[in-house]
Amino acid sequence: MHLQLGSWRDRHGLTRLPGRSAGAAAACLLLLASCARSEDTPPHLTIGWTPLPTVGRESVAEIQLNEAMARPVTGARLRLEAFMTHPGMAPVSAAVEEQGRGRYRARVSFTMAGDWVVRLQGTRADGRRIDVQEDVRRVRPVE
Amino acid sequence: MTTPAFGSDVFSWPVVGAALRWKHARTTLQLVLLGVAALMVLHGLAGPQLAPANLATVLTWVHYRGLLIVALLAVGNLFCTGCPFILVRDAARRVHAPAARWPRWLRRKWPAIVLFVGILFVYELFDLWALPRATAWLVLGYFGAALAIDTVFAGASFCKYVCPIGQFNFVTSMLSPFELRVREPATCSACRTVDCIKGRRAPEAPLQVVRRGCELALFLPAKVGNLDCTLCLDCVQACPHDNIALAARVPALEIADGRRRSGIGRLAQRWDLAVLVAVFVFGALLNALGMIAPVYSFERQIAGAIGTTTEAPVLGVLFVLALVVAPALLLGGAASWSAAVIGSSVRRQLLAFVYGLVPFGAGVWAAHYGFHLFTGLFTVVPVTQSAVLDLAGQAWLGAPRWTWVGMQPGTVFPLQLGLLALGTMGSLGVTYLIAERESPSRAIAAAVPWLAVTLLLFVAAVWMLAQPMEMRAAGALG
Repeated sequence: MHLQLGSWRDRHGLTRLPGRSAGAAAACLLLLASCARSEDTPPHLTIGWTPLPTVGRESVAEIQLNEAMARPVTGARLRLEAFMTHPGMAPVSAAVEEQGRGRYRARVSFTMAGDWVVRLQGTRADGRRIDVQEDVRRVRPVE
Repeated sequence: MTTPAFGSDVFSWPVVGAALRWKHARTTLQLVLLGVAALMVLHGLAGPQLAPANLATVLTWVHYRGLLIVALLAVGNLFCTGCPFILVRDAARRVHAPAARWPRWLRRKWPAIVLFVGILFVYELFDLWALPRATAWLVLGYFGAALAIDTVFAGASFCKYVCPIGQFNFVTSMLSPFELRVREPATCSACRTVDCIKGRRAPEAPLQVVRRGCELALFLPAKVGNLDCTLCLDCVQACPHDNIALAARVPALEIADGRRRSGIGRLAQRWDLAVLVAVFVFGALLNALGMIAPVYSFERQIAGAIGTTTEAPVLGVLFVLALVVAPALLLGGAASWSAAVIGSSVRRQLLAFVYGLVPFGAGVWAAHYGFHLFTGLFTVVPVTQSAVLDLAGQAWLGAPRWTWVGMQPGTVFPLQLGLLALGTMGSLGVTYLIAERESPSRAIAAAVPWLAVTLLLFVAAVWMLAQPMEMRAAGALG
């Protein structure tokens, strides 16, 4: 038996509804994407931890931010957020203090064992945006 | 066993009933979910590749999974109702109507079982929860698969035989508190058009279907339970006698119903469904096991034993142990025991009793996905704020409030235990009902092996929930 599927939609004005909605959604998304600002070349980030990250113990993050040609990023205003790699877990925030010559420092207390990602966001002295991240593998459980 | 008379009919409720019966209700829900899926894909492909700050990973692995199981247990198969894959498929079918029928030799759940296990394996191997772009491609893959299959094959071939999410929903919906049922059987007996399955035709053009019937081959007068029902409400729209109810019922009771089911047959004669249920139950434990610290030392032991430093073979061994060896030993052992006690065949006992574990399995899934949902419920707020910032370059919704998270992990533990206990109690009760059906004179003796397996699995699940969580994207060997 041959069933002519879909024709009932014609009768109820649904013929172009999904198409129209999808088109409108695509247009909005393209508009949003076109509005998105272009990213600057991100600076090179390295972080040293003292002591090694352990749950419930504060670790000091020694952050080095360099532009190309090892030029230090000075005068940046930064904030640090540490996320677990699994979505939905509580992130950890920390204030970032400048130490000079592209060095910054933050004190971070990790709340769960496992893999984390540290994200540094903010602006350079000239107002350009900074958004860099580094993995922190195997934050150790409470000993 | 006879089906008890049903309670309240949701279609007769004020507001909710009218909303559900509105002919565009499903399309509206599908459009909403299509919009959400589009945002997820866009942010997953173009947004920051940081899983906790990306809509693709947050909405897929925290909210979608959690809300899916909450909806299944609290209401019914609502996420199949609103499935956006089917909206796109229906639009494509307007351009290219399918002509072929799904091959007869594939009309079982085997392809879906393979895909279900495959998704679980890929999820662990590549840590999909940590990969926004891969998650976006997975979503696109579902759309592509639904399109490719259902523009070639008629009916709901993708939903019934392929979609792993659909199979998960079908099995869990056996516990849902509502079910589509016939209101008055006599009306159906007198019905000559059977529009609920064939579709309603235009009187002036009998070949033209103006209201689609059930694409999953569930004939309402012979339909038993929620298995294979996508709650698409096509049958409700098609029935010219308004004779279909969304009826309140006792959750899980259908599992012990041994009658032949329309479009399915008898559960106790379906090896594929039995294996699907085993994968559903042991896969729940395996999926939760991947989040706790002891699994990493176990993986290192496996790696040492087989002499490898790559993760795939180690995970392969773990999957074989969890999804083949453990079920074979536990379920095979229980079936042998109960068969010996009541003088029946091992096969019959296995195919009769394995379904009794569905409530326990759902309890494990709910405890696991509920943990992520409740601890990460509000993360959608800062992630959406962050997504707007990423896509538009302006903080139109304000700066991301990363402190919006959800319940503390420790406070969710009692809730997880409750869900697990509820599922286990459901399994104990249903197992006894199956035993009464299979061996009325020796029900307790027949049930004991299966009750023992259920309790053993419950203890294992409690042990897992009590372990410290350690979520690694790199696995034990990374």
